[in-house]
Amino acid sequence: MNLKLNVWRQKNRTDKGRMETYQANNVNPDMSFLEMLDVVNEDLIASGKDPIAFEHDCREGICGSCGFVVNGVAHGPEPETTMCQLHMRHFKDGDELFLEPWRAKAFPVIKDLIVDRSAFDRIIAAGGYVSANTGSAPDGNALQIPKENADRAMDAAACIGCGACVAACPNASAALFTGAKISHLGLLPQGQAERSRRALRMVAQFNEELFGSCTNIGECEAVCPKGISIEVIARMNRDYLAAALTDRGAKKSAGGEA
Amino acid sequence: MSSAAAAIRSNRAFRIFDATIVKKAIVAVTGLVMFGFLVGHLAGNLQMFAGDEGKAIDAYAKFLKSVPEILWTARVTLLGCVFLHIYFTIQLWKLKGDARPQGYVKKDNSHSTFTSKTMYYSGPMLFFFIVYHLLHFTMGIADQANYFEGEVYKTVVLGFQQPLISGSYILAMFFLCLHLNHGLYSIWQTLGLTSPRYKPLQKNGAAVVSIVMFLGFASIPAGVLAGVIHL
Ligand code: HEM
Ligand code: FES
Repeated sequence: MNLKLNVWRQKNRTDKGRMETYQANNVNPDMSFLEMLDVVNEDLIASGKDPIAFEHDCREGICGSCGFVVNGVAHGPEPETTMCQLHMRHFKDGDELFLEPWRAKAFPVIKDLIVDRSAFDRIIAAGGYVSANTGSAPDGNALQIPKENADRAMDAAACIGCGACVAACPNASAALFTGAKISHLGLLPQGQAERSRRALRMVAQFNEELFGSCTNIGECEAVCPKGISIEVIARMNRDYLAAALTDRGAKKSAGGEA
Repeated sequence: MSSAAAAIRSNRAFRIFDATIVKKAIVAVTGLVMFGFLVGHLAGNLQMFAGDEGKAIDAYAKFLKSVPEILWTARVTLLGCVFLHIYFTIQLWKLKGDARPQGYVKKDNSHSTFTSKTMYYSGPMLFFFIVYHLLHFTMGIADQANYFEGEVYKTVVLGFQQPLISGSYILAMFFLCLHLNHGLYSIWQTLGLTSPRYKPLQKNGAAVVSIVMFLGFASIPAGVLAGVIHL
């Protein structure tokens, strides 16, 4: 099949950028979307042009590196599928596609379709961890965890931090991502010690990165390649509101940090 | 992480007053208070249909104004809610623009409901309506010729016999319906009081209640136009 591609091209962070049109000919329907771009890039390189830059790593849908917007939908038309797992058989001969990078102030474009997602790393660093003893592994069932909580924590932990939720959100909010991280740890007994401070810190960082405010619209869950539900956002809101009113603050808690 | 960032994180003023989640929660709580008022307001207004040439509703209006302390507490609370609701939505709306300075050439928002995407339109329409409504029936400034102090029934009937006025009221109630359709569901998500078990109830409940509110409020100007309510 043959496709017309309109691709966002931007040399570097400061370049203004623009859409450019390319032709992808003889596309094999069994290729992944990234493989299709690989072939387009071979041609560009052969004719001495700059290849289209896009991020990728595992190409198995588990690392969260790949991701851009296809015809207005983050990760393209297939639900619960990353760009690297999206196959060309989902498109038709003659389709015209618009490829654009995630758009958010907190995700500056580095080049073409690649954005800088370090804002997510800083949100994780602010509180997305548990303090655990090192040493030998604990006994299997020493710590009881209700099956339902284990399942829900696992569902939230499926987040690969790709950023599609931010890209799809009309408010450019990172609520689904932050909510997933807060829920994943907060649902487990190991996550209780830092639960309140985790909510306070991760949300403060989220605000500091200038992500938008969630309006409970649900575009994020529709594009999430891991099918994470906005239930995690409600949980984040609950944890944050409770923590904001009840947390005693760093100074007064024993052994608290400055 | 910068030390400035660390300072913000441990700052109580930030976490209570500056976090978007708290601002949004205030929008939700004030929205709920205003909705509570609307339920009472509708129940009172439906006395227009009593068929008693306004005896019931005029007596009810007199009763509401009989204790100025209560009347003014309610008024100040409601106006405070309107102010806070709008004050924080304006802040969050500004953030929306700041958070995505460059938009998409193509963007598909087809997974969200129409009403959820139009809150920033239906809300301001309600604001204009509230201003007009207060000027009209509360202060008697908008339609002075037909305003009779203490005679609610007469004032409302004469007001709504003008199709332009009743038409705008019905239109405003349509915006209220749109706003509440998302708002009454959104509240529970914003406050974290939801779960997959109750979400369908909250969503469908919001849809049903918003339509009931529309039909209830719109029935009064419609009833006057149709001649069911008359002097
Ligand atoms: C009769 C008066 C009003 C009522 C009963 C009402 C009710 C509500 C409710 C229940 C919510 C949901 C809160 C949440 O989930 O966070 C809401 C949100 C909102 N309201 Fe109002 N509102 C009223 C007037 C206004 C006015 C005058 C404006 C004008 C600026 C406005 C703008 C908004 C906006 C922008 C939202 C945010 C929507 C979202 O993020 O989901 N509202 N309102
Ligand atoms: S490249 Fe790893 S998820 Fe797509």
